[in-house]
Amino acid sequence: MTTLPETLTRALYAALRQVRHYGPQHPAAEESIRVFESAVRSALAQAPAVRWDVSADWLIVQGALLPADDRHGLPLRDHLTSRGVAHLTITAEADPRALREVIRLLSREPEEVIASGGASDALRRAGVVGIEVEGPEQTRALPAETDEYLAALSAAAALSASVERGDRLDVGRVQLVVETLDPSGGAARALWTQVVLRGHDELDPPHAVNVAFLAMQLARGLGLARPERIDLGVAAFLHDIGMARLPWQDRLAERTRTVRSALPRHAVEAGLLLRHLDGRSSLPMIAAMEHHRVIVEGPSTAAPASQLVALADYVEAMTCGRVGGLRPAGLGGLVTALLAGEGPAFPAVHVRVLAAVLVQAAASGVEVVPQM
Amino acid sequence: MSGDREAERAEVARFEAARRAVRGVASAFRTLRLYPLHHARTAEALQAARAALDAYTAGHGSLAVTATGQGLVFDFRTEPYADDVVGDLARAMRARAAPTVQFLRGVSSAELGEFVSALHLSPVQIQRAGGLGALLGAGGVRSVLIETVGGTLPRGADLLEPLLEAVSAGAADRITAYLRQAGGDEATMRELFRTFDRRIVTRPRQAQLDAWKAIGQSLAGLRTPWQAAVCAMIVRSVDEPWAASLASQWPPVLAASLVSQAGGTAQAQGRRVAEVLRTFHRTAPSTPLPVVEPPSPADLQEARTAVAAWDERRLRTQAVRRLGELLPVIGAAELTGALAQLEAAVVVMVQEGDLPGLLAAMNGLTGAAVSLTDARADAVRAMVQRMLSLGAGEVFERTLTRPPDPDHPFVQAMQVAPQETVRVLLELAGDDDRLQVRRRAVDLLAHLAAGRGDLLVPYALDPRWHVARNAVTVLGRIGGQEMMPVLRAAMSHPEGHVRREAMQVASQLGTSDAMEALAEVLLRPDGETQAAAAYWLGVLGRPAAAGVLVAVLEGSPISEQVDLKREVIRALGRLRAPESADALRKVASRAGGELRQEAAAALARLQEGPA
Repeated sequence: MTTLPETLTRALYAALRQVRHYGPQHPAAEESIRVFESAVRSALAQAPAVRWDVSADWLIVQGALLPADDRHGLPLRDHLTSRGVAHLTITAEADPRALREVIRLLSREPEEVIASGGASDALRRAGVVGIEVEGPEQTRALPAETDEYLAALSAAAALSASVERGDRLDVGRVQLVVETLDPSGGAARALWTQVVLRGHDELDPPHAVNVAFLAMQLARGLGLARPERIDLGVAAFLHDIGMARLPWQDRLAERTRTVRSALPRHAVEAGLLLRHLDGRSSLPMIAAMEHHRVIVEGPSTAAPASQLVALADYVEAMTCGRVGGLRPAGLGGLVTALLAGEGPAFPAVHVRVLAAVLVQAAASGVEVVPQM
Repeated sequence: MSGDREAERAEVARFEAARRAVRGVASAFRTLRLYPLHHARTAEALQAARAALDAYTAGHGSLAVTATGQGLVFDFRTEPYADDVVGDLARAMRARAAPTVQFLRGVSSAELGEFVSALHLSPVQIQRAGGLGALLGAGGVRSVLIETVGGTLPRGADLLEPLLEAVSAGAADRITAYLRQAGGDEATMRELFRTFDRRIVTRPRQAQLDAWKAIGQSLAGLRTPWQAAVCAMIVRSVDEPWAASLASQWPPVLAASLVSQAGGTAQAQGRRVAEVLRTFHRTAPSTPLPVVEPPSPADLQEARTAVAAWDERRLRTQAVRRLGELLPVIGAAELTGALAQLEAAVVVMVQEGDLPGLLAAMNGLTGAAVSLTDARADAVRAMVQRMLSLGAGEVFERTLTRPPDPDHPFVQAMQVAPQETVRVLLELAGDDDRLQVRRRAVDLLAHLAAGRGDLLVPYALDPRWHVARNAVTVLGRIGGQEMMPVLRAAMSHPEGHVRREAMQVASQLGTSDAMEALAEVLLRPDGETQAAAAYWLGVLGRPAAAGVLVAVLEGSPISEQVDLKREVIRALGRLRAPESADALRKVASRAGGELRQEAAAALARLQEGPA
């Protein structure tokens, strides 16, 4: 017969409660520790270890999530999290003394556990073998978005929605948004902080905003004047607008990491949407149609603006992802590879400017590459 | 046995509680028929219904009832329940395409009021509002869930607003209930998550993470087999952004349990699901930024120069080039607009003398015309023709100096619109004031139309003499016996330029047909043309022509048509045909000074022997 997670949880919580209330020598506490030990031994007969995974939101015992309304699970969860316990693992090596010690230690008040250097250290000092306690992973709060960044995200989403409805593109509005993405000094640093987060998908609104920002930073690094930077930013902001004309399922296959065509469908759609045959106003059309050509075939026949947009797009797309495991590369690794001539053949000077602006952002205090 | 009795009693108690709850709702529905919503009687009935529902949900969770022809069926037993009060409610639910209603824990009197009020609306009104679910959602009802049939909204669509609200409130039980209501239908669930994701994607990042965390935990709390099914769905949707967000909120350690939950053949699938979920939790690669020297000022200057080199005109050319790439892949409607835009650009480019732009336009059009096979090809060809008419002059003068390589615009134009290409080149070559231009145009046309003399035939009779003349010239360059009928016709052209050109070409051919054609012209009553024919007969050099020349010479008194006879005498001298000697001697002895001298010279050449 298997030992249920509920049984283990009940036994652990009862032991902690009894020892906390009456002290470890009390017969009731002794009895509860014996029950706990018995439950653990029974579970260890079926599995190599007994494990509790705890967070403020759940309690998982032996890989099974306890229901939120479990009578013992909820208080045990609170008890352990308040003492900085995220994982408690007991193996067959743990003897009765070790079990008694961990119960004694975890039944202390949270302040006492913390004052003793944490449950993990305390167990080690006590020479306990076969029981391991791990604290919670340190998570840092995400930096708050600036109003400009949020407004740009909303504009990108609204633009995409209007194209999906079949409305005309409001390029004038895009220009107003893009102008706010080309600041200098502290405002630029705040935008960099958002752009380097990387926790979005290529199909999400931040992609357009970030590519526009990166392209304009590249232009700034090259020494281009503001009107040229803004033109470039508008083109970059709109480079993937053709996606909005595709069915959702088709967009998934048009991400930069999967596209092999120099003129994928979204580039064609963007070309039609942005169709304009008149000098600088044609830049969005040209960049939208050429950015994949630059990535796939190289920059030889593309306009310089397309080359800059393509580089910004490639770097943005290849380093973003809703979760870390889905990001093909990090910013540092990707730039290193591009400098070494690996990947698409962007103009060397553009890549070096990119590296320089990233280093410059890092020097201003932006965490371009997350610290491990 | 006692256990069975206890279970039976519990079942009876549950049924009784459910019966009271639905009777309460049905009574409120009936009361509202008699009194307005805010009347004390109605409020009292709604309060009673809420209390009865509270009593049920406190002990048994949410209550789902389905209206059937036999009455209401509760979600925990199969036998329907009906009485006169409840029957009324059941009929109203069925009539409004809302056979199943779920009352969640915590439903309020106001929400019940909205529900029973909505049931009093006509089916048409409900349909216009997007269904009963949408109507209640718009009214802020969150604790009464409707499962519609044959509604206008896709399944799950009316769950979006309640789900968003529940997620914002962090109400795990409501989130779970809504997700359950979406059903086991994977497509519905996927669409719901997708739409949900798009609604929250512009919110602050932390708010997005919190929302997915709330949903992730609600899913994690589900029991098998639901949990495993949802995990499998996430893995199948692994490309979707929402799937990654959702899975990242899933406790990683749970992934292992999925393997054990799956049994038998499903174990491999369970392992795959767990593997993908673990991938989501993999740490992102983290390599430090490289140390690199920034570009030198000279490098930067070079890059800036490269950017500046792309001026307005060059960008327009590039845009035209890209538009050319679009033409073969777009639909007819889009094509019309694109061509109109291109035409406008061509007009400007012609005005500005923008040769690269015009070349790009020509390349794009001809490329599209070659690759298209349907009606769109005709539209593109028509545009090629307009393009040639609008801008060919500019293109022409600048490109004639280039060798006609395969990329030459006229080479390409010839492939898709040969008739028009020939016409435009003929017209442009017609200006006698620019002889160099004309010569180059004819050279180009002769090259392009080699083996395609048929293209020039219609123009050989064109009323515009310069067009007809140039067509004949090119025909002469192309060569070929089959063109004689055209040349014969051209020799009858009203314009002397054309007739003369045709005779010259005929003489260059040198065939007996050509000779006969020239001989025919010689007999026409037009002295100037006859003189030309005589000249070219002489140049042609066939002695057989001497007979007709002699006939002309002797056909009228010697003092008449002196100019014609001079040319005839000279031609006879060139031909050196012995049978013409008598006629020449006659002229030499009888005629006036000029003709006599010409005849003597011709006789002298005759004595030199055959040419």
